[in-house]
Amino acid sequence: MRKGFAWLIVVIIALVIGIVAWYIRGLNYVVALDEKVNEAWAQVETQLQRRYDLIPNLVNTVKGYATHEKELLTKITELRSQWAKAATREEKIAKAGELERALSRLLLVAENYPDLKASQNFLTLQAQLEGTENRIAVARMRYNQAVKEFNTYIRTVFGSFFAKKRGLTQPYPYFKAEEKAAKAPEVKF
Amino acid sequence: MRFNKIFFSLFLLLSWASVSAQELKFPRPRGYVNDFANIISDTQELQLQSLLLSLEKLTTAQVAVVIMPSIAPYDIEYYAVKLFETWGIGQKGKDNGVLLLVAVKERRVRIEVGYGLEGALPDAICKQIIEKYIIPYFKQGNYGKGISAGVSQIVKYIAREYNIDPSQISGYKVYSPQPQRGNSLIGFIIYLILLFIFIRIFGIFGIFLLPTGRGGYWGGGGGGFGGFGGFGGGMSGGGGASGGW
Repeated sequence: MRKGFAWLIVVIIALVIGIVAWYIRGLNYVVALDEKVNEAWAQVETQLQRRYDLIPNLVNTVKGYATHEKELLTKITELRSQWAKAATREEKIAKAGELERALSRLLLVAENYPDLKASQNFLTLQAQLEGTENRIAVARMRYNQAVKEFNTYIRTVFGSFFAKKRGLTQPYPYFKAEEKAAKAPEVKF
Repeated sequence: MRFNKIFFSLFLLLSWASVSAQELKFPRPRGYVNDFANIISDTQELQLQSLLLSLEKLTTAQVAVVIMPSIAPYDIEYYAVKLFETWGIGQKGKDNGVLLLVAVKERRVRIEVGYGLEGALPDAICKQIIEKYIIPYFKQGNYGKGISAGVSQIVKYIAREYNIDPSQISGYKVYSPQPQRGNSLIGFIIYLILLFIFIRIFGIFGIFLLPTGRGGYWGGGGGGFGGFGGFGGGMSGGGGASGGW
């Protein structure tokens, strides 16, 4: 009898330890997922900033050759400053999408100016822009992956419980790729 | 109602598990050079393997060459970044890996650069390597030479980053840029200037900064090529360039 009782105590203690460990792990896990989203977003912003820094140089180079594209260039410059002013994640995502469309149109338009296409400066800028667009695509993909993990987890049975405990109940917005420019603008030369 | 909600949550949990399991599948790496399409000769493959092994010994940087018969339905940028991530090319934390990926059927090449080497191999340089060293040979159907020339350029830039004279890396060969309509003369002059700068840098620092290698680590290769110790867990973020032929 005595022995049986001792075993019962051991089992109960083990259970309590197990439940406490599970509870703590749950509380930590939701925070870890949240942090992953924020980290991925920071990477997205870094790459968007890289694009932002590239634009003045690109606009100036194109301006010298493509004399009929003033409107497009002005729009790109405007979008650039609007992106910089955007405060929320949703706004930044929207502006970045518009900018992406405008930039891919610029690369397309450049096709009509042989002198521009031949300039070494433009070729370098073009390679840089392609690389930047691709980096944005990668950062965006990783961000969306993290968002998906987080948003799904906070809707599961235990996930929603832990998320509430941590006050992390708000799902994050996805960064959808632009339909037309799903990949880096490609120009043959 | 309540039962429904629980059921839905369980379903989500399950689908989440299956979603993270469902990913692009890649073959296991055989060594630095992975010619899954069998388009380069064994001799060339061995030469590249030993060149890349000595590069890693001197710098710890890892260069992987992967030739796939086809990568459909993915585009090369996506495939490259996923393959890089799965294999973990380069050392963990240093992210000093480079992937040269060739998709034969799609006629596309990509150089994907790990975070740690984005300074040594900026996008514009990668583009030049593809346009001036790889594609001209590919257009003639000489895949082996195109890949060797491209790898030799990649090795040169990595060596420079680590202040090592590429000619000290056993198996290093110099290739000249191939003419591609127009500005090839300018390219050649730039090449000469870069070479000159490099010799200057090497003359000052090179001898002192030569790493001593990493002894015993090289014993247990993971099958395939002797000396290849597996990739180190590096990451890339879409840096580099792509091209087609």
